[in-house]
Amino acid sequence: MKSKTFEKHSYTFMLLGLMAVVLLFFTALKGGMMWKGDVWLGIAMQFPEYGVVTLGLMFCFICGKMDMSFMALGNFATIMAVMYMGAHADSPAGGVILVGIAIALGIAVVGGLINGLLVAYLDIPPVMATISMQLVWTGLSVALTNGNTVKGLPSLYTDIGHTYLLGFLPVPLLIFLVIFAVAWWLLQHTVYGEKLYMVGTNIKAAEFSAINTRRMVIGTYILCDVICCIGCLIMISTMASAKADYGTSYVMRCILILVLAGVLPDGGMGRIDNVLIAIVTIQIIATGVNMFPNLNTYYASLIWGALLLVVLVMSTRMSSGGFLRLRAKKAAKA
Amino acid sequence: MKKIVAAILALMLVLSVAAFAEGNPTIAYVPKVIGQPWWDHVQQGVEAWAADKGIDVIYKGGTTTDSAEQVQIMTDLVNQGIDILCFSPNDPDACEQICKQARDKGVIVIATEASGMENVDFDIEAFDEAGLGAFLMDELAAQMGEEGEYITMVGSMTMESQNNWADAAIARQEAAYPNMTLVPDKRVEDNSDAQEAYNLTMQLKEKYPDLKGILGTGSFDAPGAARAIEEMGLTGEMFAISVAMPAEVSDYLINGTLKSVALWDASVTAKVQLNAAMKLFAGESIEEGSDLGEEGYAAIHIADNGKGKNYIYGDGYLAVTVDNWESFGF
Repeated sequence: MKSKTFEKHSYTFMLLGLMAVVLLFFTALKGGMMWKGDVWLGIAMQFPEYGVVTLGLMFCFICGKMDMSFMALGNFATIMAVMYMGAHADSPAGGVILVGIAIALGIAVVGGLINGLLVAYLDIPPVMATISMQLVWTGLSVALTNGNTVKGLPSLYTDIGHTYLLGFLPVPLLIFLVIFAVAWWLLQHTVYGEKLYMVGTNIKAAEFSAINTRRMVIGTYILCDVICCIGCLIMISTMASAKADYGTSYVMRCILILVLAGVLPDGGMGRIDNVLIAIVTIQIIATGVNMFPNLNTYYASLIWGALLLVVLVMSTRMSSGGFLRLRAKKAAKA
Repeated sequence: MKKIVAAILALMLVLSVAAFAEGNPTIAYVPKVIGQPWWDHVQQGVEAWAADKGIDVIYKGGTTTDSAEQVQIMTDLVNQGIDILCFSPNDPDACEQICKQARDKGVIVIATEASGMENVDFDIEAFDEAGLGAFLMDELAAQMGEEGEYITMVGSMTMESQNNWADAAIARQEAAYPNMTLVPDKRVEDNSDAQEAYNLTMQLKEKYPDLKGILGTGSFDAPGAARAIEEMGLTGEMFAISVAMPAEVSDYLINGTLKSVALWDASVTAKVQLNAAMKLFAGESIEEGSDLGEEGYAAIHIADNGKGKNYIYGDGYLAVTVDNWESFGF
């Protein structure tokens, strides 16, 4: 029964199994409501914004680093972008939007660079360095806006958040799929991806293998923060505004998704296809819990936590799979 | 394997049929946040309304005040298929899109604390600024015996609504209480800090020995001023009022330093939102003077929000006194 493909993908199968259990659970209790077309269109609209952010953070985790600043940085970047777009409301919208996006991504590059420099050159522990930067970016945003929302996005931009291509494909989902494809290619088919796993597995060993680890860390932080910023750019489209504290609840959610997917902040492990399954599962749970009039939103966190426990227990119990295998692979790579 | 699939499909069919029934509208109420005393109080109000009318209300809010979380919850509810959406946005701007989608689907959308919103059927406010300012003055004047010197206090000179309340209070005094006088300093700011309100009260009493009343606005003003009045031993001779949380001023209400503070009951506003939505659902219209079925909202006012949308306000402020502070739970 245990074929090679099964062994190789046992973690993926376990996640898929859990997703099926979750779906069955909500179907059994809520029946048709779970399978309404609108509900699934909603799910497809909802997960891309933090899904993209999660994909960005994934690079940091695989590299063995942590980033706590991504949402604050993304908010600052999008606030600047919206301010620019608002100030140029009378110019042609297309050009203004492109410049606005360029401004946001430019700020993300700077933020990623600072994170990378703090971690790679000053050897500040990643959590400390990026929490400091989180406070800096949030502080700048609040100083700039007095904590208020910033409006003035062209309607062309806000339409992105709720437009369906061909009537069924939400534009945010399309953006997510493009980012996913690029991230998958980077991890699986480039030298960068290979080196990234090596650096994450054992940074000293990678250094001795003639990898410029500092450059890798800085590059990864920039990549992470740019992708996160793209997520924030999707978010401000659904919100039609930017603010210093939008999406702060996504920080823990993204970390949860990654750990659930087996992408541990220890570095060097995890697969991007598992991340996709974990993102969708987490959104199904959130949407599912919202179908119960008497369940408050804390139950979603409860189920998320329980699911995480199940995954952790199952993966350590699986003799040849899960984290044990991942760890073994990590050791072998080192 | 086939059997399992067949069984699941059969189960789904049964349950989906069971999901359709009843003639009442499906109503959802989305607060700013859950698990916090102010909003627990609102939840109790909504639940009481639901029990009273025999109509279920789905009460669902985020565990943080993050708009992203709130908008996701609203999206889920709208996609499940609801008829009425009542809510209190953390950021009105962030909710415009989802409210527009909801209204496109025929959902009745009623907001509160969002008088500037466009994509709602109505926004409902407990009071307007002039009404609350006049109410604060009426309360203080009654305590001061309608005579003596007073001063106004705000959190900060840049806080628009608090300054408007204070202006309205002064206008009320000038119109109705000729024996009261505003001292030359007119207005002080305590930076939304009860300690600073205490210091200011001490200093002001030194500067104006005849000062008899402090008309505060923000929720730090009355607690700070009351501490100063108590320490100076002037209970019953000097008075203070502002908007305040009952639990934070309960000691002063009990020992008589404060006679009353002003507040509006957000759970009543929530009930009024539901009543208004039911009225629209039944095809009735809401006009100036309509009765929305709760105390303070028997003859509502309608105002233009400047974006071609009307919002509703009531006379929903009330005096929190030693007799009723416990009923709020916060």
